[in-house]
Amino acid sequence: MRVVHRFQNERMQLELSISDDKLKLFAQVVPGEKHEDAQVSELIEQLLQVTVEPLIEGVVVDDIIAQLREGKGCEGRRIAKGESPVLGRDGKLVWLVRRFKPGNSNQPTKELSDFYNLGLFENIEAGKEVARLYKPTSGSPGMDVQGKPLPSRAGKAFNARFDKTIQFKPDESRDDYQTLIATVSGYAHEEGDKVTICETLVISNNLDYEMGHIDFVGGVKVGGDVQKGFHIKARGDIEIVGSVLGENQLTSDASIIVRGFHQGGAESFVRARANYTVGIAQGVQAEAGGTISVKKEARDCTFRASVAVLAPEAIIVGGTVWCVKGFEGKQLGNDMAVRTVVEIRNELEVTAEYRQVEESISKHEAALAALELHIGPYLQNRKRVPLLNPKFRMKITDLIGKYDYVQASVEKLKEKIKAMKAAKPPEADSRVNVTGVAHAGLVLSTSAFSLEIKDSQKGPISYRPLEASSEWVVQEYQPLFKG
Amino acid sequence: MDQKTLLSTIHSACARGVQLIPPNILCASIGSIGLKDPFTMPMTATLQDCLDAMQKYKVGSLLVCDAEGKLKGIFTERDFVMKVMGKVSNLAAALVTDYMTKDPVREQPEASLAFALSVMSHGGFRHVPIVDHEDIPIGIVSVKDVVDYFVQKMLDGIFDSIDIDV
Repeated sequence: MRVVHRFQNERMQLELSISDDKLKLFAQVVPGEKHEDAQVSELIEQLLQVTVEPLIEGVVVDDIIAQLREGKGCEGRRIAKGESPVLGRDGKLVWLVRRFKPGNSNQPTKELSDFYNLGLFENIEAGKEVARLYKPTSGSPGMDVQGKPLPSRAGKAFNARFDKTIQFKPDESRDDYQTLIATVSGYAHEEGDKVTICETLVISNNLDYEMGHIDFVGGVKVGGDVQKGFHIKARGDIEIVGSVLGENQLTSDASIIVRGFHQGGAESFVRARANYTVGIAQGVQAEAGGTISVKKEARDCTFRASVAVLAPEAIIVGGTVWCVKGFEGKQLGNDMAVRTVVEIRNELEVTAEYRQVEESISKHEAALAALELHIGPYLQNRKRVPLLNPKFRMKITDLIGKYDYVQASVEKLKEKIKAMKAAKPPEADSRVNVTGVAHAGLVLSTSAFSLEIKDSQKGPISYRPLEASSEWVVQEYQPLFKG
Repeated sequence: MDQKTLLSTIHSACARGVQLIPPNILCASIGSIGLKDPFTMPMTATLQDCLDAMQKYKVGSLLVCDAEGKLKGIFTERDFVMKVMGKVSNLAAALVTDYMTKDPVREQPEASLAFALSVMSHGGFRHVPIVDHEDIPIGIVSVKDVVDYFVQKMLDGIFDSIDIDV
């Protein structure tokens, strides 16, 4: 506090002080001999020696004078107030989605935790809003109690580097921030000042309790092993550099590669829309829309490939192999005559194209059923739709339009299936190729006939099913795929 | 469609593997559902100012912030009905800070939808302000926003599952 003005007459003795921050003016008043004649105007006249009129608190001045007339003084009463400057706010990046932070789970720290579902990252679809970049604000200057301006400070812009996976939302008319949207599907990652959406989730070590199950919109690469009981579901490729240790479910809309050993299990399965490749497999149940490739060995596995199973350098012992185009392997069965079955199914119903159309019809029908749920009674009774309120009517009309659209699509798919059935079936060119040894215990089968190998046969040879004579014939080796 | 047919349709859709509510929907962050910009009022605002703003912008809740923009309270239709109507005669003379819900439960945009719903359910309120790390409001989420999001995701899920061929 600093005294800035003193005044004395026969009505009052006045002392004005300013606070250290220069924002407040305090008055100390002592009544004089003729205090009952004190006037508001003479107090204001003194105040104006120090401050400016807009900052004077008129109510306080009136009260001080009223008290003074009654012979009462005051000590340290605030009589004027300045305005603090408003500092400009720095620009900032506010994330609207969770970022990937390994080891930082959403699990409670007390009670039970589910370490299989840690929720470490959030799946972000392309086009989704991921963050807002707030612009800095300029702030506004203030005024001290003596009427002098107090400068403000403008905020600093936020410096962030975005790559092509994130871009500003076009056509946005906001003054205070810009919205950032993802251009690809993946998870959000921020490292230093670099911000990006990663399309591949890379786990450099093992997949275990540190990460939990994975359900990701992009590809997944595991640098180590997938521990027992952990599952991976991905829209992109799944690549496991190490081994899969059992009871795991791997699902991909693209391909799955297990470079090491793959142990199956009662509850485990592999489903790849494209191809599945494995180094060594035991007890694995795998389905692939394309080919299944075995690099070294497969024991007691069940493979179902919509195209072919390829194991040119591998040994296949036990289990069943289902394929359409055929099979190519180095060694089938072993010296112990373990029953190993290769099923060739080249009927239209098991071809990849047919199954794809059939699956699509099934999905369309499910979609129609779900749409029916949303539309409710208005689907059957469309005359009631115009009677609805405009907002609801618009939504229902839109949904009915979509229902009809899906209905037309499913009809077209059904016609496609009919045409496929009516067309002449393609000439069967399926075969089982063995480049090493076909051991006793090997069973080759089609839906109509089968052949069990009694004595081991050395390759390279081709077994070919002949529909006309309903038998398997041994032929000179011919590669499964030309070139 | 009668009740029986509807139930049969539901069962049939589920049997075909239709996920009527997409998995992981509750794990989505609140920020990702399309946050609405909040309507904020200064702490010096009167009840009349708030009423005018609610009527003008057709909103049911206002966030009350200090000079730095930090969240200090929320004033909703419910506050108006329970604390103001029939009790305050001069709306222009009453400060909102005396009638607002002070220091409301707020969330950051990265919190999950499940958590936001849980907060609303346990707390018995319909609006949750969303703030950034400086406690400055960046949006507000209501139960209606969440329900709208669920229905939209359910419909999106149906169309994402199929490749239209017409």
